[in-house]
Amino acid sequence: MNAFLKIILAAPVAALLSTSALADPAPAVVEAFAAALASLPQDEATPAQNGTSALAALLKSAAGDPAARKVFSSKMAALLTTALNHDSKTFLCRQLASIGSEADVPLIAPLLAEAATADMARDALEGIGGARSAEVLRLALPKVSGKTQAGIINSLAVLKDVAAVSALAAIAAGADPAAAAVSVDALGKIAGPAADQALETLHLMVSGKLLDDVQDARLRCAGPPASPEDRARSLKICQTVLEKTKAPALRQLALRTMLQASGPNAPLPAAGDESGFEPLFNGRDLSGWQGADYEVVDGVIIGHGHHGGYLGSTRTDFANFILRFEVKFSPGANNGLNFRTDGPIWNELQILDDTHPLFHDLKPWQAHGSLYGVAPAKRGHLKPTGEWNAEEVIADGTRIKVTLNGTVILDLDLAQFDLDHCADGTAHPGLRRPSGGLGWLGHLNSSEQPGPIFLRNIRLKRLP
Amino acid sequence: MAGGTLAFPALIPSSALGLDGAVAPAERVTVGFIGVGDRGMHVLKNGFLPCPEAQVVAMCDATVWRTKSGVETVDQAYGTKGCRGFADFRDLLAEPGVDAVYIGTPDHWHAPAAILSAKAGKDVYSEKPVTLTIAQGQALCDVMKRYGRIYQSGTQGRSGAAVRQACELVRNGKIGKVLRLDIELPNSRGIEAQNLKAGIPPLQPIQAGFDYEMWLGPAPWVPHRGGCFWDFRWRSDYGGGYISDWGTHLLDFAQWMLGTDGSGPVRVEGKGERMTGFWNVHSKYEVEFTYADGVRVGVRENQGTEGLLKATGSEGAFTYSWNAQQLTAESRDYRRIKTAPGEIQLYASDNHVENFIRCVRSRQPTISPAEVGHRSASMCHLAVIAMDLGQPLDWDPVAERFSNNEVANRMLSRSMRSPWHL
Repeated sequence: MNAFLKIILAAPVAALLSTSALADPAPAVVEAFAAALASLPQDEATPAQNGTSALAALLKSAAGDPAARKVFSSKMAALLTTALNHDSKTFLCRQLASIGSEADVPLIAPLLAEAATADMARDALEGIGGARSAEVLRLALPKVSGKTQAGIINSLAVLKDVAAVSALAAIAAGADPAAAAVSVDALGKIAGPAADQALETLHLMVSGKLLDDVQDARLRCAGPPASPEDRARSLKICQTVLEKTKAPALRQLALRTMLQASGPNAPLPAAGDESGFEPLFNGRDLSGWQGADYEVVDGVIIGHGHHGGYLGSTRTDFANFILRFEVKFSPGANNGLNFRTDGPIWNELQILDDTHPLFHDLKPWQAHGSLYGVAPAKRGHLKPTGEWNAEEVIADGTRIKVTLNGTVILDLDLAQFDLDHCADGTAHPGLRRPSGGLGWLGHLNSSEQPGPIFLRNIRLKRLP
Repeated sequence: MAGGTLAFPALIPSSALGLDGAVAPAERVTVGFIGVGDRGMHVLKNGFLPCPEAQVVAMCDATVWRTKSGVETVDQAYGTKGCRGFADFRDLLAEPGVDAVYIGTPDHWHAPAAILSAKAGKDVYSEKPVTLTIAQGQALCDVMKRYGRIYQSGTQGRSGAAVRQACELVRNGKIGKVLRLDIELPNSRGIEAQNLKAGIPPLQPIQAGFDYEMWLGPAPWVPHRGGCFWDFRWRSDYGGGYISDWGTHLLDFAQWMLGTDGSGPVRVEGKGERMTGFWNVHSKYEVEFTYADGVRVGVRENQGTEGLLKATGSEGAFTYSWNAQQLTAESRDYRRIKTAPGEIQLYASDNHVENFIRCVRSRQPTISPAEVGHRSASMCHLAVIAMDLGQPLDWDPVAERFSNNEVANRMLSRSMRSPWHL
């Protein structure tokens, strides 16, 4: 049996399971540990393996004992500048990653300066974490280059060190493309307002592949948002990226980030008997529709135009029908369902995030689901903003009926309305049309907030 | 590789594949291989080459000879010279003519290569265990979700009627309330003896044509002593021994049986011993997981070289054998029980590679997406941490952190050698 294992096994168990959590480990244990450390090899041809099993047994005992950990880790850190071989030091740093503390950082820091030892030092520092580890990494940044610098940048990303943002932004704007790319990636992982601000500035300064990386990193900062306020900010970042990039892969990433940032996306339960329904949206592209500022990602149509935008059906023969769809709002989103239209005619059923503070003083016929300008829908049946809603619209002769999340919120007979003198003070003669196309009417809301609208699972059953 | 994008040759016409036009060339998913060793070659010949909806177009290995062998195998199978070899997998990923990749590298490369592949726009089939650490798994799931990639974890047992049937038996209450799942993995006595006999391998010059620097990738730098092919799995820098190697499969089935995909246990404890010498993974192991509803999952060594999963419930028990790929003879009565209409029916797939390729085309989730693979691999990592610390650990499967041990939490991740990052 290994001589050092014998020493360890002889050490009183009580010393290891110290009754006082703050008492130093027993001298016998400390001695055994020192002896095991002394057996670590110095010549490069001998791996550290043989010595490490003894150490591992001692370290196992230290895992539940903070005082022992401190004693052990300081002894290990002290060996980092001795003549031990590379393998031994790699092993010591691996242990320091698990049991080291900020007190050990000053002894680890010098290893960052050398290419041969920087990675093992980073291992220890990433495990230890904290402000001191981040500080020594930051201090080392300008002193190294190439792969060594890249590694330190990556460690700052792992530690999500906000204090490193300005230094990273400088490297990202600098002359070394490889370092710039790594720095941009790090900014995306650090995230938060400072990193996002830096990326926004870089946006204007860089081009080519690095600009794509900056966009990607910005989108990383955009999700997933922790709060409703964050959600609006995330959506705005996505919208900005969409406005500035033509690259299809990046557009898809921005759209997907927008979709994932907007709220949950689990499927809704089936809406009832679906027999006889044909899909109007194939889930993949906008076949059957035309319009700018609407794009498809992951089975969802996103209307993301800053100024609204119209998505109209290519078919114009929808007369009497049941239309079912699912709709999700971003904060303040404003859209509308156009039906029996010839394009310019707006026969609009309101689609609106009407619980948003922007819309605190709506006219009754402006609420979601209302026949806009004509008749109000019942309010209060939308899911919280960011969740999917299931809606059904029946247009059968003069009967217009809207069901939202299982509740009928509008049920009227157009024949009972004077369509030349409607509630909004204007005429809506288009509502007399017996058939026409469908469309989604994106509106700019009054504060020019980006307000994407999300649509999926659009299907229609014709009625006789 | 020299600059400039070389166009891929035209895709193989279906007549050349003898398929009578079953899948038009333009519809086929083009696949590149990253890592084509023993396992990769097996999956190539038995999984991807026979799949009519796929076309293998690119090969990359850290060794020149395995890349060449992969290219020759593909060209011979298709009867053409269309497959291209790459020395650096990043060049393979830059090719627009590759839709998806198979990752057959050692474990330490699985997650980093998958993440780079996803960012390059490729869907991913990764060998198991899909990660080396739990933190890698979280990053993996995040990337796959953000980039909308289709991902298959290489726990191909799920695409098998016997595993599905065994899991449906449990889910449908055929053994009553589940009490325990007991997993046995091959013992490592033979490996240990080999390790002791070999002693410390001497430093070796790196063979010509082996890119050792790339092979190491994110793993810590150590001088070359051989043992990189197959035997990598006995060193913690690259793998986890039988616990990860066979354990991922059986723990994956356990998770499926218990309905805890996307989640995990609430407690893990164990004792084990690592090998001493050059190989250093656990050779002796005994681990017990506890789930929130009280179910226990035990993992220990077998007396022989079997992989077994015994499910014990309040009304019965059966055993599944990984070696035999079916319920054991003693459990034959359970073999006959079919799932009835109205009972829980799990995701049905009969071919793990075909499932992946079809999902690449349909964009529907595979039978073993990233979240599933991550949580199954996590079981292995939890076991190793528990054995290294020798203390019971309380695990929060939602936050994916230990609630009672900060040292254990530090062991959820490892640093990556520069310039690599997740």
